[in-house]
Amino acid sequence: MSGEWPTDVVEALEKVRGGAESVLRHATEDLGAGGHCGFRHLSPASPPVVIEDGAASENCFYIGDVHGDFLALHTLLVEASRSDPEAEIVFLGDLTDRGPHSFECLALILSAAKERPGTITWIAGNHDLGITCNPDNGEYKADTQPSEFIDWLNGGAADPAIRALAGEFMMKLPPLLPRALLKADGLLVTHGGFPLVDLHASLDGINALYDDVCLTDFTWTRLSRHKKKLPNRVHRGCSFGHTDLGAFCETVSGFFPVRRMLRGHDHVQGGMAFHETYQTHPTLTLNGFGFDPVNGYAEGAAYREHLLLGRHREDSLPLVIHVPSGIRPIPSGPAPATSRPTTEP
Amino acid sequence: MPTAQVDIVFVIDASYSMAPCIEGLCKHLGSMLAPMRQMNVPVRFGLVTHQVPSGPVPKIATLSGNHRSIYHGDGNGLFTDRPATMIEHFGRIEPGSDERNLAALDCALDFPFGPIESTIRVVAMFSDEAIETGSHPDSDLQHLPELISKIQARGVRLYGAVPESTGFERLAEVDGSEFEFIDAYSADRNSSFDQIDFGNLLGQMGKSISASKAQGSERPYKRALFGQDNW
Repeated sequence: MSGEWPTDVVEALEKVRGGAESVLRHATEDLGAGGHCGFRHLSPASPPVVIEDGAASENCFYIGDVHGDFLALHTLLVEASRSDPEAEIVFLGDLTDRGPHSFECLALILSAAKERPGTITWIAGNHDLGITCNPDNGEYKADTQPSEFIDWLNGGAADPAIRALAGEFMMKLPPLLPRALLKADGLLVTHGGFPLVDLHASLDGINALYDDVCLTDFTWTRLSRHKKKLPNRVHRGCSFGHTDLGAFCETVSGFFPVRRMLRGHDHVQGGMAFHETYQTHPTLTLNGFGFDPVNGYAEGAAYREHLLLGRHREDSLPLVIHVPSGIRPIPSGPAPATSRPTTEP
Repeated sequence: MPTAQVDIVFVIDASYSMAPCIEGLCKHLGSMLAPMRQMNVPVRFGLVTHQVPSGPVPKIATLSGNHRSIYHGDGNGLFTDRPATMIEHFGRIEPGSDERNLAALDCALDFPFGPIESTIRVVAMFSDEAIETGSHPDSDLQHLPELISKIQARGVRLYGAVPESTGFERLAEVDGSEFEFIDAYSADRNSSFDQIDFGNLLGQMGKSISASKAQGSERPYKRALFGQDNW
C-alpha cells in the first residue's frame, strides 16, 4: 500500500508482536482446558449455527473479511470500542491470507478476546478453516488459495516454535467457530451464504442446519446478481441468487426466521455492496480490509481512505460507518524513511 | 494448485445486426485483459462464430477453420495467446443471416481447454437474438438440460451479453455464469449493441474472471450434443 501508517497503529503492531507468543500460549492452554479463549458462541458449548434471543443492542459492530490487514483490524476494533469498551463485535471471518500480517492479526484478535471476554464472536471464514499438518514432515497445508499464512507457517521469519504454536492453534480453534449467527431481529450473519436449494428438502429442523454440507454452504457460497443458481457440488464456492435466498428463508421460517443477511466472502469494490436485486431479503456484503479487492495487497498500491464498520440497526441491515484509515500519503521527492514495517516477523 | 492460465472462447453470433458488437470487441479486448495481466496469468483465446446461411446446418468458424477443426483435428490452432490475432479475426468476421447460439456454445464447450485444476475455463457469448426466436429454437432448446450439465461437468464459467429470455436465463443459472442482459434485436433498431459501453462490459468480465478460481475435477460429458461432429 502507499502511505504511512498512523503512529498508534505502528505502536500497536510492535506491541502485538511483542506479546504474541504469550497471548498464543495462553489461548492454546485455555482451548486445551475446554475454554473459549474469550470468544462468544464457541462450540462445543454453542451449536455451529447460533440463534440469539432477546433484542440485539445497537452497540453491536460487524467487521468483514480482514485478510491479514493489521491496520484495518486494529482501526476497526478501536472504533467499535470507542464509545463502549464492552460493545459486542462480530467478525465475519477470513482473518488470514492476502495481506502481510496474518499472524499479527491472529495475535490481535486473541488479545482483544482476552481483554474483553464474551464480547467478540468470530464467524468461521473459508480461509480460517481447513488448515492441516503433515505429521511426517511438519508441513502445513490449506484448502484455500491464496494461502500466504500457510507459507508463513512453513517458512516465515519468526521463531519456528512460535510458527508451530500458531499452526497448532489454527488447526484447533476455527473448527469450533460458529458458521452462522441469527440475530433476534432476523439478521443472518455469516461468511458466505446459506444452504443451497438442493438441500432444502432435508431442512426439517435446526439440527439439519448442523449437517456438514449445510455448514460448508454457510461458509463458502457466493452471491450472484442473477435471480437463481444451480448448485454445482464439484466445488464448494457455488453461487446463489435472490430467489434462492427467498426459498431458503421460506423453508426454514418455522425454526430459523431469516429476514435479511450480512455476509463477507466476496470482495467488492468500495468494500461494501447493497445488492439491489435482493429486495425481499435485503443483503449486505461487507469487507474489512482496505487494500484493492481485485489485485490484493501490494507494496505501493492504493489503500482505502476509509475502512468500513457495520453497526447493528434493529429490523434493518447494519449501518455502515466509514472509519478513516489514517493513511498518510508519502510526499513525492526522494524516498522517505517509513516507519511502516515491510517484512514478515 | 494456483491458476496457471485462463482459456477464453468467444462465441459470437455473426448475423448482420452484430456489427457494432464485433467492433466493440475489437476496440475493447484490452479492457478484458487488463485485470488478468495485472495478475500475470497467461490468457489463451478461442473463437466460435456462427450464422445460418440456409437450412438447419449453421456455418461455424474457429481460428483454425470450420467446426470440424474441433472434432477432427489435433486441436492445434484453436487457441491463440496473441490478442492481436484475436482482434484480427474479429475484424474478419463477415456478418450473415441468423444464428444458432446453443449449437455454437456446444462447440465451444468441446474445445481442448487446459487442465481443469489449473485453468480458468471461460466461454463468453455475444448475441442479440433470444434462443426462442432464433433459428431452430425448439430442437435447440431440447438440448438445454444436457448443455447445462456439460457446462458444469467441464467447469466452464459462462459470460455473455445476450437478450433477456427464458433460455438465456436458464444458462445464467449455471454456477459461475454471469450474463449482461441486453435488449433483443428488433427491426426498428440498428443494433442492440449500439448503446453498450464495451470498455466497461469487458472490463467487468475481466475482473470477474481474474477473481475466479480453477476447479478441482472434471466429470464425464458427451461431445457434440447436436451431432455437429458429423455436420
